[in-house]
Amino acid sequence: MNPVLEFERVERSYKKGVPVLDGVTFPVEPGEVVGLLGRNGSGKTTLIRIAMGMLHPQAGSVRVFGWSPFENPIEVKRRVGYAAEDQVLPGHSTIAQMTAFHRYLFPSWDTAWERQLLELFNLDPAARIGKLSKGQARQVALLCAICHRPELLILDEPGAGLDPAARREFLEASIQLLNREGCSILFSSHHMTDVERIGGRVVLLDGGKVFLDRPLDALRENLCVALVPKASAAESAMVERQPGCLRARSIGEDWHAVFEGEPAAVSRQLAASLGADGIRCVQVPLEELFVELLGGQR
Amino acid sequence: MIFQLVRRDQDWRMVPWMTLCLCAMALAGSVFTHHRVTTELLFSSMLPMMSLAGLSGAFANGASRRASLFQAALPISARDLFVAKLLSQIAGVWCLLLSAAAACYVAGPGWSVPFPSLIMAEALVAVTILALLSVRLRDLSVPNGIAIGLLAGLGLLDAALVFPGPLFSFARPGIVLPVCAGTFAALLWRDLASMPKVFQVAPMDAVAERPARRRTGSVRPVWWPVWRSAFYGRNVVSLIGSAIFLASGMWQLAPIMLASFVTGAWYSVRWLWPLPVARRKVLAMTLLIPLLLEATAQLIWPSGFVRAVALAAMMLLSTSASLALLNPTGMRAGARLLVLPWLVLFLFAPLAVLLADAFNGTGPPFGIHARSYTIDFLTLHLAGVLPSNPSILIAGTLVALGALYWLVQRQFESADFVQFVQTRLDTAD
Amino acid sequence: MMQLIVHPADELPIYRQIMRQIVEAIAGGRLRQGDKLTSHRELAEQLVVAPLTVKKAYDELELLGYVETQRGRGTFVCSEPPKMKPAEQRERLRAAARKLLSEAYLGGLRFKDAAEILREADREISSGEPSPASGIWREKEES
Repeated sequence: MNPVLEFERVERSYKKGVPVLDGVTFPVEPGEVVGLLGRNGSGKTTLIRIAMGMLHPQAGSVRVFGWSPFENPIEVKRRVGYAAEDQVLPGHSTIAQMTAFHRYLFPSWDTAWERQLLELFNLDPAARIGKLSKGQARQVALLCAICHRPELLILDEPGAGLDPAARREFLEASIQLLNREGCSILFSSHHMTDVERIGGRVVLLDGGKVFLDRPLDALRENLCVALVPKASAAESAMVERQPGCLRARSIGEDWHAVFEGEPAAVSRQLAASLGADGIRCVQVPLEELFVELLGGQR
Repeated sequence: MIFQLVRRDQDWRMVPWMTLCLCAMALAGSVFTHHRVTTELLFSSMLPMMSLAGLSGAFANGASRRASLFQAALPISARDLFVAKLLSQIAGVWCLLLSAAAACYVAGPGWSVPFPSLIMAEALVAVTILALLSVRLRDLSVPNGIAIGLLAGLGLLDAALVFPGPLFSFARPGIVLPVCAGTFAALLWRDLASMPKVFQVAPMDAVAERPARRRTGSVRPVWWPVWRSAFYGRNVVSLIGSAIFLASGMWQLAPIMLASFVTGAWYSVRWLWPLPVARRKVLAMTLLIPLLLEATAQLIWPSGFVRAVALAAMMLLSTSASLALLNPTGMRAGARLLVLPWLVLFLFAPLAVLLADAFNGTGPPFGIHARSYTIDFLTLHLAGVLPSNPSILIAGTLVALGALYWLVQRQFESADFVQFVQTRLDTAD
Repeated sequence: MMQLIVHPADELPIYRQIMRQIVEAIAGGRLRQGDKLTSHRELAEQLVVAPLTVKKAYDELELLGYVETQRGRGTFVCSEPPKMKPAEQRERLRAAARKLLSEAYLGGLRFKDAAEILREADREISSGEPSPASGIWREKEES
């Protein structure tokens, strides 16, 4: 099947010589939920804006439903829903005016679902958006993004700054959308628990490139973290040279290294090659993997 | 402590730049000594009014805070913050006016500076600033609505007292100055007496808890949010300003106001970009409609077909130049430097024409039926070249302007508004 | 009927948590042969996880033989539990028992205490209390 969204060697920089995106390539297949992860400033928002046709890539291409969002912006945007952390909504307009406007723009608007979500989020249609709290404004943005039943939902840190209950409601609405329509979702988030709940595949951006692009369960089960005492390996290079090592970093008196493979096998292999005791190998949740792969050293 | 605060204040920091601008304008304006704009007019009313307008612009931008949130968290007393803000604002305005006066004084004889009027105007401005800062002393900032209303009211009062001319100017320095001094002292004493220990500020979410006004009866057309975004606030002030300039004959200042409206409107409707709205429509609403309005205004107040066309052409060219500067994929730095002067030219050329006329001694007086001699000069000479058949002339004009508009549309559709779209950390305060 | 709880930051991926809890429910008798499992879409909305994750759990359980899917009708608990080769089964259980007893002896407990612990675990499974993160699916060794 043709991918719903496809990035091909996308490059973009804001200042000369400092590439924010440096050859990013990955697809989003129909029905997939892809979590875009990376540190702040790693280009997630830039990539999402390029997918929405709000920024031009300086090299490479992006195709949404097979079209370019720059040449066919209307057809693409009719089938895409977008909600972002830094999204601007007109403060003076009421919720009812915004939804009326969206109903006009999107022929596939579902008025019944709009009413249902307004009730679920406990929003008054006559309220002015500028007077809502941040969480409520974000809920309005999400409502506008999903009520026209898009085939692709693009979310840019939708949960940022929301309390856990609001984040959970957000997820519930997204899952309802997945269930009804079988749409695809591309979302970037810093809340790893949310990514674990709803993510099917994970793309990790680092240094402007795709560092990892794997199904989430495979990532959780095939990667493990080995804690190697520094007594057994003087430099990180000694650990990183081991087959299957993705990264090693220094934490106190140990090296924390991310390896591919089962923990038992990896710890046997390390014990054999580094000749060490006291090597511990565990499988870890996504947040720990993120920190071990992208975090700094102590 | 107060000095430290004043030194770091935003308004104080802007003083050197504003001084330069205002000096330049004062010198340019004082060229009109031969006509009805005298230095009297300039220093007693126009410049103070413009400073107040500048202040109100700053207030509308949310700068009407007695202290920034950052400062409010520091161990500084509210009294110090208040006095520092007051000092920096007053000093700012006084420095500007005094340096403009000094510039004119130095420029030579014949440009006399009316000191009594100047002092009177400055006293009024000082009282206005203090009055504004004294509202709702408990809170960190004055609510925008109140600030603007108060500023408008007091500004009109000041104008009525000071604006020289046959209708006004019943104020004498001898009366105004003591009244101002007394009011200032009284207000200051009251403020310092009732100054709270700390300023209160409510978090943004809490303020939003007020129940919304019920207007369930009103039914608005679907595109209402878009119109409201584009034609509101600062944007519509720019548009009205340009209409006023056109109607009063000072059409040379209109391109700048129009350009301000256009960029302001693009900024205000940036929430449309993720939605399936054609950029063509956005451009038509923000550029084409004002151009048509202006052209109509020009033709109604008979200031000339040529001028209407020239204004439209200059607007389109300047828009095209500014969009070219935004284009990410084409322009190397060198090319950008070449485009920039053209942009400045298209926006400010009419103003330059005005000043040139003034230096020639043929400057336009104020009035509804003002005529610019330079444009008439152009018209006379072009008349020999242009086709005399009016329908051909109009058709040709429409074709030329249409082509320019099409160029601008192409550029707009492929522009990257990075500065609108890129998130920046809020480092304003 | 199926009270499941998932923790996203648990060491087990979410689909494995679902699998383990369903298997424990079958073992403890709370899910009987022929019972219908909640549809994967509904369970996804209930647990607030992706529908594909639930579907994956169901598919894996089907592969292992615990449940079977009938087109158009839903997913049902198998009428016969999966058959493991008896020798293999005994070997796995003996290994698990050795691990349990060696831990107990190292901690200074005696066989009696280990037996009491086994009885408590039996009660937990039958009543459906959620158990902490170490389960029969993990074979992560510490060396």
